[in-house]
Amino acid sequence: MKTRELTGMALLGTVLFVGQVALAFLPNIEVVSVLVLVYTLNFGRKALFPIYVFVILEGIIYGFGLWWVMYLYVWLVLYITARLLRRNTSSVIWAVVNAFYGLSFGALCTIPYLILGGPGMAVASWTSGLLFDIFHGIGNFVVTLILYHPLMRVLRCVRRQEIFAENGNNKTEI
Amino acid sequence: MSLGNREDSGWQRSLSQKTCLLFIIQYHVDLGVVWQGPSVLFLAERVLSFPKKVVKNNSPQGRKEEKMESKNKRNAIAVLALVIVLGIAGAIYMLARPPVSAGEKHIVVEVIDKSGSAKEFSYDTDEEYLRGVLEGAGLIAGDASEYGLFVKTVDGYTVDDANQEWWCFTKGGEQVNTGVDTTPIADGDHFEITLTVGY
Repeated sequence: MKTRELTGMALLGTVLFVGQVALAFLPNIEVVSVLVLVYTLNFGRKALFPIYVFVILEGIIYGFGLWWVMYLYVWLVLYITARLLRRNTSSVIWAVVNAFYGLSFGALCTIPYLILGGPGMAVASWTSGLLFDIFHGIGNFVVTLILYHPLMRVLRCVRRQEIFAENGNNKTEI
Repeated sequence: MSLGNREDSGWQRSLSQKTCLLFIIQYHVDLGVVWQGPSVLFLAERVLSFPKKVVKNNSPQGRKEEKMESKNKRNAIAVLALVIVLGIAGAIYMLARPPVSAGEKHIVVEVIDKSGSAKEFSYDTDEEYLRGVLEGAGLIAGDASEYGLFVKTVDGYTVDDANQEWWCFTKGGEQVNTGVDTTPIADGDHFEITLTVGY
């Protein structure tokens, strides 16, 4: 990977982190999901770099606790979902996908509790956070519906800047 | 005027057209104006000569419209599925959440600091959740987050994040799976808030 491309990926990861911190005061409103989505659709496999730059930054700032272990796989689920559905171009469908992701976020985060404390602990952890998951899903739906097309336009411009080109050409393997 | 030969025009006389014709005739009979036969026949001809559209539009515009229609249908189904799942999740939450009790309650909150010494605070309250009681009494303060209040200060002591300090909430010595915003309180409850070091 060229230095310019590496720097670009690091910057995209930083954008994820800044987006999370900037909106932390708003309950259940986050732009990380929609950014991970559009990164995946525009950069394919290379989107994993900014995603894990973000995860590492989160760990450095907030500490490497059990929640950080969840972060290692939870964004990967969204990445894989976006890769599987990448042919879709409807903002409504992506908003629904992101809403389901937000709704299932709590369930995905109970996997460590399932391993540590068994099904009882996992179910208790999931049901206690279900209300927040519902609002997270609704928030994701609205944010994705509004920001999907503008972000896609911006990232298409970024791709055209040859920052992420391989061997100096304008093509990025998706 | 004649009803004409329609065999070469490919039209179809639908049930709605026949109904319309009968209605027109019946209307004029009821009004006692059967002598207005020619006008009735004129109207009948207009109705019967209106061709029923059965031809599929194979033009590029038509195909584009069909594609748009199927896309809209797909979007509507997706949104409907989301609404249903959100409803189910809401129902599960309502069934699974711990019950709240209204009315005056007496609770005790024990604050245990780093040295292990404990201070007890008693409250008589009508609040339903722990946050309302403790914040109202000025015992706790913290940062609002998407998961509710993240308690950082208890009884005047603010945790030091650099030392991985945090406040651990328990009820009757048992782990509490909810935050202060969603921990219900009942008469006679005993809560412990312990300053803990290390994540």
